[in-house]
Order: sequence, then C-alpha cells, then structure tokens
Amino acid sequence: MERQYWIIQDGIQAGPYTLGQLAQRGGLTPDTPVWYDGLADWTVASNLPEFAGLIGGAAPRPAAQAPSYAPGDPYARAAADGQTPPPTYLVWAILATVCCCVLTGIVAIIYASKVTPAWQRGDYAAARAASEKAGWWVIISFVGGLIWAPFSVLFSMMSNTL
Amino acid sequence: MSPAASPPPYRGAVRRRPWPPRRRAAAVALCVALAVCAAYYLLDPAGGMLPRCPFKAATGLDCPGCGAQRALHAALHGDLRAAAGYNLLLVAEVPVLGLMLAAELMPRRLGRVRRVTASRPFILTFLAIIILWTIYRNLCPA
Repeated sequence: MERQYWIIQDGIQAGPYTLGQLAQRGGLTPDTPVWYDGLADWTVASNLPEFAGLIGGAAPRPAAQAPSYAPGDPYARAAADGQTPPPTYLVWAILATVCCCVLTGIVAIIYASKVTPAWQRGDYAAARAASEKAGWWVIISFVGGLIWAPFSVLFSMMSNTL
Repeated sequence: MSPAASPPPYRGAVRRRPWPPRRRAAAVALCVALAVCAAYYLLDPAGGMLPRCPFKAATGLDCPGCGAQRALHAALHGDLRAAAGYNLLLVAEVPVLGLMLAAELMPRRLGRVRRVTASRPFILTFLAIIILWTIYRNLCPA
C-alpha cells in the first residue's frame, strides 16, 4: 500500500493523502508540516526528498512567457541574463598538471583556454562544452593521481626494504 | 494492513537548513587542504612514504611539478628558500593561483581579474611558461 501523508495547511491538519493526491491538491511550500506513519514527529516538506517535485508546483505555471532558450539549459539561461561565463577550472587544471598528471592536466588547460573565446563569440553551447571537458579532464587527472599514489608508496616501500 | 496510525500532536516542526552548496564545498576544500598540509608537515618526502611522480617514473625526466612535495614540506617548515630550490615555478605561481581562485569564486567582485585569468591569451601564456620551465629544468638541472 502506498504511503499516506498528513499535512497541515492554513493551520488545519489534513490527510491521509498519497503523494499523487498531494500533487493534485497543490499548495505545498517548503515549510508545510508533513507527517507519515513511521516518523516520530512532524517534519517539513523540504526535509522529504519525495516532496521535491511537489513543492511550489501547485498552480500550473503560466505558459505565457515563452523562454528564448532551451528549457533546463542553465548556461543559455545565464547567458540570456547576462551572467558570467562558465568556469574554466584553470586553477584545478594547473594544480593537476603540477601535482600528478602532466598530460591530462595539459589537456584540461587547453580546454580551459577555449571557454572564454567561445563565450565571447556567443557560442554558449561550445563554451559550456569546453568548460565541462576541462572539468572532466581535471577529475580524470586527480582520480588517476589518487589511484597511482598508493601503488607508488607501496612500490617505494618495497624497494626500500629489499 | 492495520488501520493507519494517526499523527502525533503538532508542536511545530524544525526545518533542517542544509549549508548552501558553495559553503559546503568550501568547507570540504578547507579540510582537504588542512589534511594535506598536516601530512606534508609530518612526512618527509625523502623518507619514501609519499607517492612519486608518475611522469618521472615513466620517463626519468622532471615534470613541471616535480619537487612539489619536497617544496611543500620545506615551505611548511618555514624554509621558503629551500622550497624555491625544489620547484621555483610552483612557489612563484602560488600567488597567481590564489588570485585566480579568488576570481573564480567571486566573479562579480573580481570580474576584471576574472576576465584576464579566463582569457585565452592568459591561459596559453601560462601553459607556455609551464612547458618552457619543464624544458629548462631538464636541460639545466639545479
């Protein structure tokens, strides 16, 4: 059986509802008190992950304002709002280069260098792609370094004792 | 199924306020940095307990970062001169990296700095310095 929820809205306790009924009912805010059988005490909707999609989704959103960017594309949105370009991760790329992994670090630096030019010519998708690639190469470098480190220590300890 | 339990009396619910992601990331980064500093203060890279450079192990050449562990160990013990001797570039670029990090974290306030540090000429110059430094240190070992 589906879990049943009680809520308090406008000072009045209501329930039990299933999640689906709550979604139809609407009007949930992050601070709406919620309880279900199994909770020791009331909590609020924002503490429950299953409520994430329901909070604030009460009234159907006005479809009037057609966005000029693809929905769900934060970078294009940021660009439309005149915000800063995506991160270059240059600091991390340089640290990766000098800390463990020269080659992958240099790849990350080269991708980092492509972010701003793409942004300046208005190619936000390319700027985002370069930023993400730089980030991924940084992660690859550090993960590679972390994998390498214990082997290296083990090896040098063995060669010291031999 | 037993009849559904009824909710307890409502005495107000506490909303858990998670730290904002940026602050959480900063806290994690600070902890990692402190742990690394503690490790490199206590451990001497000459003791063979710390990882070796994979580039050097593979090629026998000094990579742009070789000496970083010895330099960090020396710097944490207050010997900046020795640190610079192990890896001059690294010691020289620490202030630049700090400025870049600040610009990345505060793009609004340091927008002018960020425009420079995120620009292609700056990044490619930095890359060229790293490569030239690597060539130099292998040709003229200190």
